[in-house]
Amino acid sequence: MALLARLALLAGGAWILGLTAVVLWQIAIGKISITGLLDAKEADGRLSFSPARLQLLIFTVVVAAQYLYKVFSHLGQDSLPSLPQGVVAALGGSQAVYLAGKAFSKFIQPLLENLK
Amino acid sequence: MNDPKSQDTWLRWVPVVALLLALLAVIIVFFNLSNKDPLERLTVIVGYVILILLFFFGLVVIFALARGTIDLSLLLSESGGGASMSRFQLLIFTFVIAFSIFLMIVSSKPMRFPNVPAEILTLLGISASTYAVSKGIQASNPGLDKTGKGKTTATKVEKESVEQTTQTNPPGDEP
Repeated sequence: MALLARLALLAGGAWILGLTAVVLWQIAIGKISITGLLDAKEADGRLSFSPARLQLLIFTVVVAAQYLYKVFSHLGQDSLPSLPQGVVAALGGSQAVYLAGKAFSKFIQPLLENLK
Repeated sequence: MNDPKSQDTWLRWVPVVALLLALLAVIIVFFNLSNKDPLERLTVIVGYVILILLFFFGLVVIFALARGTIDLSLLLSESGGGASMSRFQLLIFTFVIAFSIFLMIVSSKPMRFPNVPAEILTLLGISASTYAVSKGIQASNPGLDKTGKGKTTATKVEKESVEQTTQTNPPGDEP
């Protein structure tokens, strides 16, 4: 049974790493497009840089990197390391800002343009 | 030069190899554990068979993803074109949490599934909800997209109402 558990772990780990490698490789070669990741569309149709998207990207990368560091520091524990409530609240706020910007450009800006 | 047909032929042999390996595992376990309880033997045999079949299934999926047979090109794309930030974030958090859980399982002695704190579930819930709401916003106004095609919803509605008025009251048909 111990050998079975080790083989299952090996297979599962290989699969997760393989999937991650495939996705990252396809992003790197451009097969999975990330063009326009930081762009938002204005009411007049022009694409422009979106600060809301940039702040969300920065926050996501920072939280993910910090969490991975915590995991490596807590190996062997019974539970995954938890995140501070403040970080979760800040993430929620960041998402809200992003969604508000998206909703504004999709619903409010066209109406303002039509009113003009 | 890789021949796609030869690669497809190779992949067709994968289920056969998987079944043969599973059968071999059954025979080996059956004879190695002949002195054990039949239920224990059955448990181990079923475990090996499931592991072998799942491993080869996963292998086929990974190869299909790598070759492009399972297309991932729109994985991060919004419906109107361009990359979606909410999808990108959900992808990053999913991989980070999955990798973290795997590391915790490997490092624990004895190996066990770790407890997942409520904050991590909240994090994933916020990320998934943002993706769903973003998709809803995009879907509610399909005329707007990043490629510059299509018109605004308000303009579309006005045009449709003008067309309907023209159809019901064509010119020259006035009382």
